[in-house]
Amino acid sequence: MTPKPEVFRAVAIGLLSGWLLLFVLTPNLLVAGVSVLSRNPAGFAGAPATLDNYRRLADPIYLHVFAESFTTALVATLLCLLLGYPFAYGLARTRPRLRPLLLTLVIVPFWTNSLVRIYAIRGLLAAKGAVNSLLLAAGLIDQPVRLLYTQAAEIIGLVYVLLPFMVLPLYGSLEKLDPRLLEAAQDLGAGPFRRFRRVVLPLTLPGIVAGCLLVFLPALGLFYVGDVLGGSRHLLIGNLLKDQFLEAQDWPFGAAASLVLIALLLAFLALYAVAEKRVAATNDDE
Amino acid sequence: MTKPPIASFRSVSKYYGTHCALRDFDLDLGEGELLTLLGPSGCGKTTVLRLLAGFETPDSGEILLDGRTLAGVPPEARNVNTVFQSYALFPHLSVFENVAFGLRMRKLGGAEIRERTGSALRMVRLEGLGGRRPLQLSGGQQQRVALARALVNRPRVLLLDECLSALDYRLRREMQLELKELQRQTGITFVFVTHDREEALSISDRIAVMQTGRIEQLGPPRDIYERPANLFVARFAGESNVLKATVTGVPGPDTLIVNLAGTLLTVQADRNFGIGEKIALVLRPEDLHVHETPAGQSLAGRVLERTYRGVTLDTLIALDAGPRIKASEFFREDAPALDHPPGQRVHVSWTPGWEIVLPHDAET
Repeated sequence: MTPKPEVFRAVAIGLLSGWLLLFVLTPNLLVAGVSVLSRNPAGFAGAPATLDNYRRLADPIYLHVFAESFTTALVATLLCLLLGYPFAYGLARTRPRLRPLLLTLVIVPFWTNSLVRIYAIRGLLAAKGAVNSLLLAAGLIDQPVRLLYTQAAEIIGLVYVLLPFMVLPLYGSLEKLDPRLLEAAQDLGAGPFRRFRRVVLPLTLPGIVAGCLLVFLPALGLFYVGDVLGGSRHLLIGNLLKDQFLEAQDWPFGAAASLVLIALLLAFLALYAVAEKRVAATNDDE
Repeated sequence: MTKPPIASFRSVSKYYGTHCALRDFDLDLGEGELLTLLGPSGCGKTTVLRLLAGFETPDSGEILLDGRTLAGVPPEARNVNTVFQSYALFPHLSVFENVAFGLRMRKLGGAEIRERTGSALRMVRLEGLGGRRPLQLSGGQQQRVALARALVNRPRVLLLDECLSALDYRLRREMQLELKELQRQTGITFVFVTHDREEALSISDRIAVMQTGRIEQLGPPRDIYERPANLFVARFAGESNVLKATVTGVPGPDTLIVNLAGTLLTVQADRNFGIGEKIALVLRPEDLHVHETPAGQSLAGRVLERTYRGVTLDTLIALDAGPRIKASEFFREDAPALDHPPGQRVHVSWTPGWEIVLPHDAET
């Protein structure tokens, strides 16, 4: 007997909601619950209920970690955008036969574990690493410069690991861009800059936003990049969370920190959604 | 033409790799005319538009606009606008903003932009739809937006690239009339590219029939249809019956006696032929009459097939001389006996002088 479409629909929706309920909603509710409990050396968390964990987050030390982590992630995202946009543009404009090869090259680094690649970057940036050796050999510097354990090293690592997440959505939207629209804009008197500003940019905005989100969100949490390249002085939010759960065994505080992070990210997304509606609205009344 | 041309092509050639798209191409565009480039796909007609718009550069030769060379002038700096085959409307902008795009690029004031864009939308009967997105419009409406977007800039020349080909037949007829009307209203020179001969014949002031990068004939529609320069033009400008014959006598100026597989015919020719020369006799289907009894100078044959087409009745006839010809006859009160059954012996005649006599090229 063939199942009726309604049955199929009910099963599909049921599975999906069940999955979300079990693996998304429940863990987050657990985290929320733990965040208002006290630390318990015997277990993970226990009575009494308290808001102390949130109060502790207001400590300048943690505010500093949040601020620095956001700056690091933001700079890494902007760098990815600046590097990724021309790259994706070139990719979308090469001969169609070459594109699969170039796309594969973008994806190939994924075949190596990113932790291993971060250690490779560490090798390059170390005091006696390849970069310093090269600069010394070229006579540009007299003694090795400090590259490792700086914010810059962290940013380099993040850009390196996350660049493909920027390139792929950008490529997706640039490839869909009809080159005839550019000819039309040119025909109507738009020079190269205004063609980009008035046609290319607005039409690839979804790709830009998707790319930025795909880079920015992981950049806040990639704790091993902070561990391996940033050292102890440059913590990412990811490091903070990991340390609370694994090192300090302070689950309630870690849970509170991660909830605040989620809240901040949701606020960003909401801001973006509002901004986008505004832009669409201004286009319409003009 | 007494006035100097608006735009001229001076022995322009354009190659794509080894393929020659245009060969020593010469053309003058007159002030306020509607010139159609007519030809099969790949004949170079779109290349002419792209060269004038500036999307391609000539490999040799020169293009002038108002007497000044266009060499080195990018498309955005040319006072020429294009209506693209795909319309190429900006999907992220409203209809109003699409039309205003060129004016904004010229940094005109807000009031002038509103006024000119508004009147352009009125001109193409789209007032009130300015707030819509292009994708919310029908094909015909999108076509009109594309027209308004180009016309609002008051270009010296408007280039239209097969822009009606995506529309259905009825809408297409409507838009042809509208185009002609817009062209008269604005007085702007239109260059229209099409492969549809009816379209070309019905809207053009002049037609350039093109083949493999050259103009085969340039002239008013009537000349193209009634006095084609060669067999290619004759075939491309309308349905044709082409019959091979040999000249056997030249009794007077412009008059020939020709032998068509044994039948001797007296025909009018507007050029000179010598005795023994091979000619092609071109007869338009609608010029032919079919009779069951011999009537003056005629060709005998047998009816193969009839097709009722509403306005006309088409009869396919196998001539005794060999070739098949088609006659399209209109229903008239004085000619009641149009319907000849298949197999019927008939005689095909035409008004003397309406035949077209051309040299018989290698191409048949």
